[in-house]
Amino acid sequence: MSSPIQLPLRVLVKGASNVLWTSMMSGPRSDLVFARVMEQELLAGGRAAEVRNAGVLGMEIHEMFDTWEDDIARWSPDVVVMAVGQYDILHTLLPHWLERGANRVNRRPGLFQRWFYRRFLRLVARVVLLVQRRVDRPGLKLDRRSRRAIRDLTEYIKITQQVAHPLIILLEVHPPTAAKIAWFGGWDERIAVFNDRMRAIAEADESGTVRFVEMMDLAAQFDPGTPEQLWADGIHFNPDMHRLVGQRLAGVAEEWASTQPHLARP
Amino acid sequence: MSSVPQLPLRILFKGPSTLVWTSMMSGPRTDLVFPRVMEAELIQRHRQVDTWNAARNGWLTRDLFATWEDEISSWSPDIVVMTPAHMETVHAILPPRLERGANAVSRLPGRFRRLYYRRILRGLARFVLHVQRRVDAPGRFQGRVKRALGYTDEYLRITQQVQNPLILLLELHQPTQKKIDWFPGWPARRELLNDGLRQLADRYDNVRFVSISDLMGQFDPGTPEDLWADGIHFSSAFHRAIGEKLAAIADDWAASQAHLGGVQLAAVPVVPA
Repeated sequence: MSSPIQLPLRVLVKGASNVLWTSMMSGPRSDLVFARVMEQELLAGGRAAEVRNAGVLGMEIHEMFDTWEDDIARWSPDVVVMAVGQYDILHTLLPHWLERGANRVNRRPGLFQRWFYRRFLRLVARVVLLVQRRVDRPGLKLDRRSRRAIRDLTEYIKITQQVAHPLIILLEVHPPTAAKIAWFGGWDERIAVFNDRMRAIAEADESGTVRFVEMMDLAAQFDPGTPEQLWADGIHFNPDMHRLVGQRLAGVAEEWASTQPHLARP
Repeated sequence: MSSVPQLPLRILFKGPSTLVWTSMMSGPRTDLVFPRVMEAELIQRHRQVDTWNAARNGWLTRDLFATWEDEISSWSPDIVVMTPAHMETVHAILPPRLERGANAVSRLPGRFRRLYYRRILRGLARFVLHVQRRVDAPGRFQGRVKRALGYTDEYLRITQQVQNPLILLLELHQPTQKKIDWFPGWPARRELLNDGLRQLADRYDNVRFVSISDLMGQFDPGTPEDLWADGIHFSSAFHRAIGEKLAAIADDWAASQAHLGGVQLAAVPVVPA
Protein backbone atom coordinates (compact mmCIF):
# COMPACT_ATOMS: atom_id res chain seq x y z
CA MET A 1 0.00 0.00 0.00
CA SER A 2 1.34 3.44 -0.90
CA SER A 3 1.98 5.98 1.87
CA PRO A 4 -0.65 8.70 2.51
CA ILE A 5 -0.26 11.96 0.63
CA GLN A 6 -0.63 15.46 2.12
CA LEU A 7 -3.33 17.82 0.96
CA PRO A 8 -1.23 20.51 -0.79
CA LEU A 9 -1.15 23.98 0.72
CA ARG A 10 -2.67 26.26 -1.91
CA VAL A 11 -1.02 29.64 -2.25
CA LEU A 12 -2.31 32.38 -4.53
CA VAL A 13 -0.02 35.30 -5.35
CA LYS A 14 -1.64 38.49 -6.62
CA GLY A 15 0.20 41.55 -7.82
CA ALA A 16 1.48 43.52 -10.79
CA SER A 17 4.86 43.21 -12.49
CA ASN A 18 6.58 43.19 -9.09
CA VAL A 19 5.55 39.52 -8.68
CA LEU A 20 6.62 38.57 -12.22
CA TRP A 21 9.62 40.63 -13.21
CA THR A 22 13.22 40.72 -11.98
CA SER A 23 15.90 43.40 -12.20
CA MET A 24 17.15 42.84 -14.75
CA MET A 25 15.26 40.52 -17.04
CA SER A 26 16.70 37.95 -19.51
CA GLY A 27 18.71 36.22 -16.78
CA PRO A 28 19.16 32.45 -16.32
CA ARG A 29 16.35 30.10 -15.22
CA SER A 30 17.62 30.18 -11.65
CA ASP A 31 16.54 33.86 -11.40
CA LEU A 32 13.32 32.88 -9.65
CA VAL A 33 10.60 35.32 -8.63
CA PHE A 34 9.53 35.12 -5.00
CA ALA A 35 6.40 33.05 -5.74
CA ARG A 36 8.54 30.23 -7.12
CA VAL A 37 11.10 30.58 -4.34
CA MET A 38 8.21 30.24 -1.90
CA GLU A 39 7.11 27.02 -3.59
CA GLN A 40 10.67 25.72 -3.58
CA GLU A 41 11.12 26.53 0.11
CA LEU A 42 7.82 24.93 1.13
CA LEU A 43 8.64 21.78 -0.84
CA ALA A 44 12.15 21.66 0.61
CA GLY A 45 10.57 21.79 4.07
CA GLY A 46 8.47 18.74 3.24
CA ARG A 47 5.23 20.68 2.76
CA ALA A 48 3.17 19.71 -0.29
CA ALA A 49 2.40 23.04 -1.92
CA GLU A 50 0.76 24.44 -4.99
CA VAL A 51 1.67 28.06 -5.65
CA ARG A 52 -0.28 29.90 -8.34
CA ASN A 53 1.25 33.15 -9.47
CA ALA A 54 -1.71 35.17 -10.76
CA GLY A 55 0.26 38.37 -11.27
CA VAL A 56 -0.60 40.55 -14.25
CA LEU A 57 1.72 43.21 -15.67
CA GLY A 58 0.34 46.63 -14.72
CA MET A 59 -2.49 45.19 -12.61
CA GLU A 60 -4.54 47.58 -10.51
CA ILE A 61 -6.33 46.39 -7.37
CA HIS A 62 -9.81 46.82 -8.84
CA GLU A 63 -8.93 44.30 -11.57
CA MET A 64 -8.67 41.57 -8.93
CA PHE A 65 -12.45 41.58 -8.70
CA ASP A 66 -12.69 40.37 -12.31
CA THR A 67 -10.90 37.12 -11.49
CA TRP A 68 -12.18 36.70 -7.91
CA GLU A 69 -14.52 33.84 -8.78
CA ASP A 70 -11.75 31.83 -10.47
CA ASP A 71 -9.00 32.72 -8.05
CA ILE A 72 -10.80 32.66 -4.72
CA ALA A 73 -14.30 31.17 -4.86
CA ARG A 74 -13.43 28.26 -7.16
CA TRP A 75 -9.81 27.50 -6.27
CA SER A 76 -10.17 28.44 -2.60
CA PRO A 77 -6.52 29.08 -1.72
CA ASP A 78 -5.28 28.56 1.83
CA VAL A 79 -2.93 31.52 1.64
CA VAL A 80 -3.32 34.68 -0.46
CA VAL A 81 -0.19 36.79 -0.88
CA MET A 82 -1.13 40.29 -1.97
CA ALA A 83 1.85 42.24 -3.29
CA VAL A 84 -0.41 45.02 -4.48
CA GLY A 85 -0.71 48.79 -4.45
CA GLN A 86 2.67 49.74 -5.85
CA TYR A 87 1.33 50.25 -9.35
CA ASP A 88 -1.97 51.81 -8.23
CA ILE A 89 -0.24 54.66 -6.47
CA LEU A 90 2.53 55.20 -9.02
CA HIS A 91 0.84 57.47 -11.55
CA THR A 92 -1.33 60.42 -10.66
CA LEU A 93 -2.35 61.48 -14.18
CA LEU A 94 -1.24 58.93 -16.77
CA PRO A 95 -4.24 56.78 -17.72
CA HIS A 96 -3.87 53.06 -17.04
CA TRP A 97 -4.74 52.04 -20.62
CA LEU A 98 -2.16 54.42 -22.05
CA GLU A 99 0.61 53.17 -19.76
CA ARG A 100 -0.24 49.56 -20.54
CA GLY A 101 -0.41 50.21 -24.28
CA ALA A 102 2.86 52.11 -24.41
CA ASN A 103 4.80 49.52 -22.38
CA ARG A 104 3.15 46.36 -23.66
CA VAL A 105 5.64 43.50 -24.08
CA ASN A 106 3.54 40.94 -25.96
CA ARG A 107 2.83 42.85 -29.13
CA ARG A 108 2.43 41.18 -32.48
CA PRO A 109 5.15 42.37 -34.87
CA GLY A 110 4.18 44.37 -37.91
CA LEU A 111 4.94 47.71 -39.52
CA PHE A 112 1.75 49.46 -38.41
CA GLN A 113 1.81 48.00 -34.90
CA ARG A 114 5.42 49.04 -34.53
CA TRP A 115 4.67 52.61 -35.57
CA PHE A 116 1.51 52.85 -33.49
CA TYR A 117 2.98 51.47 -30.25
CA ARG A 118 6.60 52.57 -30.41
CA ARG A 119 6.11 56.00 -31.93
CA PHE A 120 2.60 57.28 -31.40
CA LEU A 121 1.45 55.71 -28.12
CA ARG A 122 4.85 56.06 -26.44
CA LEU A 123 5.08 59.67 -27.50
CA VAL A 124 1.64 60.50 -26.08
CA ALA A 125 2.53 58.67 -22.85
CA ARG A 126 5.79 60.60 -22.61
CA VAL A 127 4.01 63.94 -22.95
CA VAL A 128 1.55 63.01 -20.20
CA LEU A 129 4.46 61.80 -18.05
CA LEU A 130 6.19 65.15 -18.39
CA VAL A 131 3.04 66.98 -17.32
CA GLN A 132 2.57 64.50 -14.48
CA ARG A 133 6.15 65.07 -13.34
CA ARG A 134 5.38 68.75 -12.87
CA VAL A 135 2.19 68.28 -10.88
CA ASP A 136 3.22 65.25 -8.77
CA ARG A 137 4.79 66.69 -5.63
CA PRO A 138 5.25 65.49 -2.04
CA GLY A 139 2.24 66.04 0.20
CA LEU A 140 0.85 63.38 2.48
CA LYS A 141 -2.72 63.71 1.25
CA LEU A 142 -3.56 60.69 -0.88
CA ASP A 143 -4.85 61.33 -4.37
CA ARG A 144 -8.06 59.85 -5.78
CA ARG A 145 -6.38 56.73 -7.18
CA SER A 146 -4.66 55.89 -3.91
CA ARG A 147 -7.86 56.32 -1.90
CA ARG A 148 -9.67 54.09 -4.36
CA ALA A 149 -6.90 51.47 -4.10
CA ILE A 150 -7.30 51.30 -0.31
CA ARG A 151 -11.08 51.12 -0.59
CA ASP A 152 -10.87 48.29 -3.18
CA LEU A 153 -8.30 46.38 -1.16
CA THR A 154 -10.46 46.54 1.97
CA GLU A 155 -13.48 45.24 0.06
CA TYR A 156 -11.45 42.47 -1.62
CA ILE A 157 -10.21 41.24 1.75
CA LYS A 158 -13.76 41.30 3.13
CA ILE A 159 -15.25 39.19 0.36
CA THR A 160 -12.24 36.84 0.32
CA GLN A 161 -12.61 36.11 4.02
CA GLN A 162 -16.07 34.71 3.30
CA VAL A 163 -14.38 31.79 1.53
CA ALA A 164 -13.30 29.93 4.66
CA HIS A 165 -10.90 32.60 5.91
CA PRO A 166 -7.64 32.04 4.07
CA LEU A 167 -4.49 33.59 5.50
CA ILE A 168 -4.11 36.93 3.72
CA ILE A 169 -0.60 38.34 3.57
CA LEU A 170 -0.25 42.01 2.71
CA LEU A 171 3.29 42.58 1.52
CA GLU A 172 4.94 45.88 2.34
CA VAL A 173 5.44 48.11 -0.69
CA HIS A 174 9.12 48.97 -1.09
CA PRO A 175 10.32 52.54 -1.60
CA PRO A 176 11.42 53.76 -5.03
CA THR A 177 14.93 54.57 -6.16
CA ALA A 178 16.06 58.21 -6.39
CA ALA A 179 15.76 58.07 -10.18
CA LYS A 180 12.09 57.13 -9.87
CA ILE A 181 11.43 59.79 -7.23
CA ALA A 182 12.74 62.35 -9.71
CA TRP A 183 9.93 61.29 -12.04
CA PHE A 184 7.20 60.61 -9.47
CA GLY A 185 7.71 63.25 -6.80
CA GLY A 186 4.95 62.18 -4.43
CA TRP A 187 5.27 58.43 -4.87
CA ASP A 188 7.55 57.91 -1.90
CA GLU A 189 5.07 59.50 0.47
CA ARG A 190 2.11 57.74 -1.09
CA ILE A 191 3.90 54.43 -0.49
CA ALA A 192 4.46 55.31 3.18
CA VAL A 193 0.78 56.17 3.66
CA PHE A 194 -0.33 53.10 1.74
CA ASN A 195 1.83 50.86 3.94
CA ASP A 196 0.35 52.49 7.07
CA ARG A 197 -3.16 51.83 5.80
CA MET A 198 -2.33 48.17 5.06
CA ARG A 199 -0.84 47.80 8.53
CA ALA A 200 -4.02 49.28 10.00
CA ILE A 201 -6.19 46.86 8.01
CA ALA A 202 -4.20 43.91 9.38
CA GLU A 203 -4.34 45.19 12.96
CA ALA A 204 -8.06 45.87 12.78
CA ASP A 205 -8.85 42.36 11.57
CA GLU A 206 -10.42 40.40 14.42
CA SER A 207 -10.05 36.97 12.87
CA GLY A 208 -6.24 37.15 12.93
CA THR A 209 -6.02 35.93 9.35
CA VAL A 210 -4.76 39.17 7.81
CA ARG A 211 -1.06 39.90 8.27
CA PHE A 212 1.10 42.74 7.15
CA VAL A 213 4.53 41.35 6.28
CA GLU A 214 7.41 43.79 6.29
CA MET A 215 10.38 43.15 4.10
CA MET A 216 12.48 46.31 4.18
CA ASP A 217 14.50 44.82 7.06
CA LEU A 218 15.72 42.20 4.59
CA ALA A 219 17.65 44.89 2.74
CA ALA A 220 20.08 45.05 5.71
CA GLN A 221 21.43 41.65 4.69
CA PHE A 222 22.99 43.18 1.62
CA ASP A 223 25.84 45.58 1.22
CA PRO A 224 25.05 48.43 0.56
CA GLY A 225 21.39 47.29 0.57
CA THR A 226 20.16 50.38 -1.21
CA PRO A 227 17.09 50.44 -3.45
CA GLU A 228 19.46 51.06 -6.37
CA GLN A 229 21.11 47.71 -5.66
CA LEU A 230 18.09 45.61 -4.72
CA TRP A 231 15.68 46.84 -7.38
CA ALA A 232 18.05 48.27 -9.94
CA ASP A 233 15.38 49.13 -12.50
CA GLY A 234 13.59 51.17 -9.85
CA ILE A 235 10.67 48.81 -9.24
CA HIS A 236 11.41 45.08 -9.57
CA PHE A 237 13.50 43.05 -7.10
CA ASN A 238 16.76 41.51 -8.16
CA PRO A 239 16.89 37.69 -7.88
CA ASP A 240 18.58 37.76 -4.45
CA MET A 241 15.89 39.98 -3.00
CA HIS A 242 13.20 37.81 -4.60
CA ARG A 243 14.82 34.85 -2.84
CA LEU A 244 14.76 36.52 0.56
CA VAL A 245 11.16 37.66 0.18
CA GLY A 246 10.15 34.16 -0.96
CA GLN A 247 11.88 32.58 2.01
CA ARG A 248 10.18 34.94 4.44
CA LEU A 249 6.75 34.33 2.93
CA ALA A 250 7.33 30.58 2.96
CA GLY A 251 8.16 30.83 6.65
CA VAL A 252 4.94 32.73 7.41
CA ALA A 253 2.87 30.31 5.31
CA GLU A 254 4.46 27.21 6.89
CA GLU A 255 3.95 28.52 10.41
CA TRP A 256 0.26 29.13 9.71
CA ALA A 257 -0.21 25.85 7.80
CA SER A 258 1.13 23.87 10.75
CA THR A 259 -1.88 25.09 12.79
CA GLN A 260 -4.45 23.94 10.22
CA PRO A 261 -5.94 20.46 10.72
CA HIS A 262 -6.78 20.00 7.04
CA LEU A 263 -3.12 20.53 6.13
CA ALA A 264 -1.70 18.22 8.79
CA ARG A 265 1.16 16.02 7.63
CA PRO A 266 0.29 12.30 7.58
CA MET B 1 15.68 9.09 -5.89
CA SER B 2 16.13 12.31 -3.93
CA SER B 3 14.31 12.47 -0.60
CA VAL B 4 14.04 16.28 -0.82
CA PRO B 5 10.90 17.29 -2.76
CA GLN B 6 11.96 18.90 -6.03
CA LEU B 7 10.62 22.07 -7.50
CA PRO B 8 8.51 20.72 -10.39
CA LEU B 9 9.83 21.18 -13.91
CA ARG B 10 7.22 23.35 -15.66
CA ILE B 11 6.54 22.54 -19.30
CA LEU B 12 4.23 24.50 -21.57
CA PHE B 13 2.96 23.11 -24.88
CA LYS B 14 1.82 25.45 -27.64
CA GLY B 15 0.46 24.35 -30.98
CA PRO B 16 -2.54 23.22 -33.01
CA SER B 17 -4.43 19.91 -33.05
CA THR B 18 -1.25 17.87 -33.56
CA LEU B 19 -0.70 18.23 -29.79
CA VAL B 20 -4.18 17.12 -28.78
CA TRP B 21 -5.44 14.76 -31.49
CA THR B 22 -4.47 11.19 -32.44
CA SER B 23 -4.99 9.09 -35.57
CA MET B 24 -7.56 7.86 -35.08
CA MET B 25 -9.60 9.39 -32.28
CA SER B 26 -12.07 7.61 -29.92
CA GLY B 27 -9.41 5.14 -28.75
CA PRO B 28 -8.79 3.90 -25.19
CA ARG B 29 -7.37 6.08 -22.38
CA THR B 30 -3.91 4.68 -23.11
CA ASP B 31 -3.82 6.57 -26.44
CA LEU B 32 -1.76 9.37 -24.96
CA VAL B 33 -0.70 12.45 -26.89
CA PHE B 34 3.00 13.31 -26.70
CA PRO B 35 2.68 16.02 -24.01
CA ARG B 36 1.23 13.42 -21.64
CA VAL B 37 3.78 10.79 -22.71
CA MET B 38 6.51 13.31 -21.94
CA GLU B 39 5.01 13.90 -18.49
CA ALA B 40 4.78 10.15 -17.83
CA GLU B 41 8.36 9.59 -19.01
CA LEU B 42 9.74 12.35 -16.80
CA ILE B 43 7.87 11.00 -13.78
CA GLN B 44 9.36 7.58 -14.58
CA ARG B 45 12.76 9.25 -14.37
CA HIS B 46 11.81 10.56 -10.88
CA ARG B 47 11.47 14.11 -12.12
CA GLN B 48 8.72 16.23 -10.55
CA VAL B 49 6.85 17.78 -13.42
CA ASP B 50 4.00 20.19 -14.02
CA THR B 51 2.76 20.31 -17.61
CA TRP B 52 0.27 22.62 -19.30
CA ASN B 53 -0.97 21.62 -22.71
CA ALA B 54 -2.23 24.96 -24.06
CA ALA B 55 -2.76 23.69 -27.60
CA ARG B 56 -5.97 24.43 -29.51
CA ASN B 57 -7.50 22.92 -32.61
CA GLY B 58 -6.80 25.18 -35.59
CA TRP B 59 -4.42 27.33 -33.56
CA LEU B 60 -2.68 30.10 -35.47
CA THR B 61 0.77 31.43 -34.67
CA ARG B 62 -0.48 35.00 -34.35
CA ASP B 63 -2.55 33.83 -31.33
CA LEU B 64 0.70 33.33 -29.40
CA PHE B 65 0.63 36.90 -28.14
CA ALA B 66 -2.89 36.96 -26.70
CA THR B 67 -2.04 34.37 -24.03
CA TRP B 68 1.62 35.29 -23.47
CA GLU B 69 1.07 37.04 -20.15
CA ASP B 70 -0.76 34.10 -18.55
CA GLU B 71 1.41 31.39 -19.99
CA ILE B 72 4.88 32.89 -19.99
CA SER B 73 4.99 35.96 -17.78
CA SER B 74 2.82 34.60 -14.94
CA TRP B 75 3.44 30.87 -15.11
CA SER B 76 7.08 31.15 -16.20
CA PRO B 77 7.65 27.67 -17.67
CA ASP B 78 11.11 26.10 -17.64
CA ILE B 79 10.53 24.49 -21.02
CA VAL B 80 8.26 25.54 -23.90
CA VAL B 81 7.50 22.92 -26.55
CA MET B 82 6.15 24.58 -29.68
CA THR B 83 4.83 23.49 -33.04
CA PRO B 84 4.38 26.93 -34.59
CA ALA B 85 2.98 27.69 -38.04
CA HIS B 86 1.69 24.19 -38.78
CA MET B 87 -1.76 25.47 -39.69
CA GLU B 88 -0.31 28.21 -41.84
CA THR B 89 1.48 25.70 -44.08
CA VAL B 90 -1.64 23.72 -44.94
CA HIS B 91 -3.99 26.17 -46.63
CA ALA B 92 -3.19 28.59 -49.40
CA ILE B 93 -6.34 30.71 -49.48
CA LEU B 94 -8.94 29.15 -47.15
CA PRO B 95 -9.56 31.71 -44.40
CA PRO B 96 -8.60 30.27 -40.98
CA ARG B 97 -11.88 31.44 -39.47
CA LEU B 98 -13.87 29.52 -42.07
CA GLU B 99 -11.75 26.41 -41.54
CA ARG B 100 -12.24 26.64 -37.78
CA GLY B 101 -15.99 27.15 -38.14
CA ALA B 102 -16.48 24.32 -40.59
CA ASN B 103 -14.46 21.80 -38.54
CA ALA B 104 -15.36 22.94 -35.01
CA VAL B 105 -15.87 19.92 -32.77
CA SER B 106 -17.41 21.54 -29.73
CA ARG B 107 -20.61 22.89 -31.23
CA LEU B 108 -23.88 23.31 -29.39
CA PRO B 109 -26.52 20.94 -30.79
CA GLY B 110 -29.68 22.29 -32.39
CA ARG B 111 -31.47 22.05 -35.73
CA PHE B 112 -30.53 25.54 -36.91
CA ARG B 113 -26.89 25.21 -35.84
CA ARG B 114 -26.69 21.81 -37.53
CA LEU B 115 -27.99 23.30 -40.74
CA TYR B 116 -25.66 26.30 -40.50
CA TYR B 117 -22.47 24.35 -39.72
CA ARG B 118 -22.99 21.16 -41.70
CA ARG B 119 -24.62 22.60 -44.78
CA ILE B 120 -23.78 26.27 -45.19
CA LEU B 121 -20.35 26.61 -43.55
CA ARG B 122 -19.03 23.22 -44.67
CA GLY B 123 -20.45 23.73 -48.16
CA LEU B 124 -18.71 27.09 -48.41
CA ALA B 125 -15.42 25.70 -47.06
CA ARG B 126 -15.61 22.79 -49.49
CA PHE B 127 -16.11 25.18 -52.39
CA VAL B 128 -13.08 27.28 -51.36
CA LEU B 129 -11.06 24.07 -50.92
CA HIS B 130 -11.80 23.05 -54.52
CA VAL B 131 -10.72 26.47 -55.79
CA GLN B 132 -7.62 26.28 -53.56
CA ARG B 133 -6.71 22.87 -54.95
CA ARG B 134 -6.65 24.33 -58.45
CA VAL B 135 -4.58 27.41 -57.67
CA ASP B 136 -2.15 25.96 -55.12
CA ALA B 137 1.25 24.81 -56.40
CA PRO B 138 4.77 24.25 -55.03
CA GLY B 139 6.45 27.56 -54.30
CA ARG B 140 3.21 29.57 -54.23
CA PHE B 141 1.29 31.12 -51.33
CA GLN B 142 4.19 31.27 -48.89
CA GLY B 143 3.25 34.60 -47.31
CA ARG B 144 1.36 33.05 -44.40
CA VAL B 145 4.33 30.89 -43.46
CA LYS B 146 6.76 33.81 -43.64
CA ARG B 147 4.46 35.94 -41.46
CA ALA B 148 4.10 33.06 -39.00
CA LEU B 149 7.89 32.75 -38.80
CA GLY B 150 8.05 36.48 -38.04
CA TYR B 151 5.54 36.01 -35.21
CA THR B 152 7.56 33.08 -33.88
CA ASP B 153 10.76 35.13 -33.97
CA GLU B 154 9.16 37.93 -31.92
CA TYR B 155 7.63 35.42 -29.50
CA LEU B 156 11.03 33.80 -28.92
CA ARG B 157 12.56 37.21 -28.28
CA ILE B 158 10.07 38.32 -25.66
CA THR B 159 9.87 34.88 -24.06
CA GLN B 160 13.62 34.77 -23.52
CA GLN B 161 13.29 37.83 -21.29
CA VAL B 162 11.48 35.66 -18.76
CA GLN B 163 14.58 33.91 -17.44
CA ASN B 164 15.50 32.16 -20.67
CA PRO B 165 13.42 28.98 -20.73
CA LEU B 166 14.48 26.12 -23.00
CA ILE B 167 12.32 26.35 -26.14
CA LEU B 168 11.91 23.29 -28.32
CA LEU B 169 10.66 23.87 -31.86
CA LEU B 170 9.26 20.66 -33.26
CA GLU B 171 9.80 19.77 -36.91
CA LEU B 172 6.70 19.73 -39.09
CA HIS B 173 6.17 16.21 -40.46
CA GLN B 174 5.60 15.47 -44.13
CA PRO B 175 2.04 15.14 -45.39
CA THR B 176 0.54 11.93 -46.77
CA GLN B 177 0.13 11.56 -50.54
CA LYS B 178 -3.62 11.99 -50.20
CA LYS B 179 -3.14 15.34 -48.51
CA ILE B 180 -0.60 16.45 -51.13
CA ASP B 181 -3.29 15.83 -53.77
CA TRP B 182 -5.50 18.31 -51.94
CA PHE B 183 -2.77 20.77 -50.95
CA PRO B 184 -0.11 20.69 -53.71
CA GLY B 185 1.92 23.54 -52.20
CA TRP B 186 2.06 22.06 -48.71
CA PRO B 187 5.39 20.13 -49.03
CA ALA B 188 7.20 23.27 -50.26
CA ARG B 189 5.69 25.37 -47.48
CA ARG B 190 6.71 22.67 -45.00
CA GLU B 191 10.30 22.89 -46.22
CA LEU B 192 10.21 26.66 -45.91
CA LEU B 193 8.89 26.39 -42.35
CA ASN B 194 11.39 23.77 -41.19
CA ASP B 195 14.28 25.77 -42.67
CA GLY B 196 12.98 28.90 -40.95
CA LEU B 197 12.63 27.12 -37.59
CA ARG B 198 16.16 25.73 -37.93
CA GLN B 199 17.49 29.24 -38.54
CA LEU B 200 15.63 30.60 -35.51
CA ALA B 201 17.08 27.82 -33.37
CA ASP B 202 20.57 28.75 -34.57
CA ARG B 203 19.98 32.42 -33.76
CA TYR B 204 18.90 32.00 -30.13
CA ASP B 205 20.92 30.36 -27.36
CA ASN B 206 18.18 28.43 -25.59
CA VAL B 207 16.13 27.44 -28.62
CA ARG B 208 16.49 23.99 -30.19
CA PHE B 209 15.04 22.50 -33.35
CA VAL B 210 13.85 18.96 -32.64
CA SER B 211 13.69 16.66 -35.65
CA ILE B 212 11.06 13.93 -35.64
CA SER B 213 11.73 12.47 -39.11
CA ASP B 214 14.48 10.28 -37.64
CA LEU B 215 11.90 8.54 -35.43
CA MET B 216 10.11 7.13 -38.47
CA GLY B 217 12.83 4.50 -38.90
CA GLN B 218 11.72 2.84 -35.65
CA PHE B 219 8.49 1.73 -37.30
CA ASP B 220 7.65 -0.76 -40.00
CA PRO B 221 6.71 0.37 -42.63
CA GLY B 222 7.21 3.82 -41.12
CA THR B 223 5.39 5.66 -43.87
CA PRO B 224 3.33 8.80 -43.26
CA GLU B 225 0.23 6.73 -44.13
CA ASP B 226 1.11 4.39 -41.25
CA LEU B 227 2.24 6.96 -38.67
CA TRP B 228 -0.38 9.67 -39.22
CA ALA B 229 -3.20 7.78 -40.88
CA ASP B 230 -5.61 10.72 -41.05
CA GLY B 231 -2.96 12.72 -42.89
CA ILE B 232 -2.05 15.12 -40.08
CA HIS B 233 -2.30 13.70 -36.55
CA PHE B 234 0.17 11.19 -35.14
CA SER B 235 -0.78 7.62 -34.21
CA SER B 236 -0.54 6.89 -30.49
CA ALA B 237 2.67 4.88 -31.12
CA PHE B 238 4.30 7.85 -32.83
CA HIS B 239 3.05 10.21 -30.11
CA ARG B 240 4.86 7.89 -27.68
CA ALA B 241 8.10 8.04 -29.65
CA ILE B 242 8.01 11.85 -29.77
CA GLY B 243 7.14 12.12 -26.07
CA GLU B 244 10.06 9.85 -25.14
CA LYS B 245 12.49 11.87 -27.25
CA LEU B 246 11.32 15.17 -25.77
CA ALA B 247 11.44 13.77 -22.23
CA ALA B 248 15.07 12.72 -22.72
CA ILE B 249 15.98 16.24 -23.91
CA ALA B 250 14.04 17.86 -21.05
CA ASP B 251 15.55 15.61 -18.38
CA ASP B 252 19.04 16.18 -19.70
CA TRP B 253 18.56 19.96 -19.65
CA ALA B 254 16.83 19.98 -16.24
CA ALA B 255 19.78 18.12 -14.73
CA SER B 256 21.92 21.16 -15.50
CA GLN B 257 19.55 23.58 -13.72
CA ALA B 258 20.30 24.25 -10.06
CA HIS B 259 16.76 25.30 -9.21
CA LEU B 260 15.34 21.98 -10.44
CA GLY B 261 17.85 19.67 -8.83
CA GLY B 262 16.33 19.38 -5.38
CA VAL B 263 19.34 21.30 -4.09
CA GLN B 264 19.42 24.57 -2.21
CA LEU B 265 20.72 27.62 -4.01
CA ALA B 266 23.16 28.42 -1.26
CA ALA B 267 24.25 31.95 -2.22
CA VAL B 268 21.71 33.69 0.02
CA PRO B 269 21.17 32.94 3.73
CA VAL B 270 17.86 31.47 4.92
CA VAL B 271 15.69 34.11 6.56
CA PRO B 272 13.71 33.35 9.72
CA ALA B 273 9.98 34.07 9.51
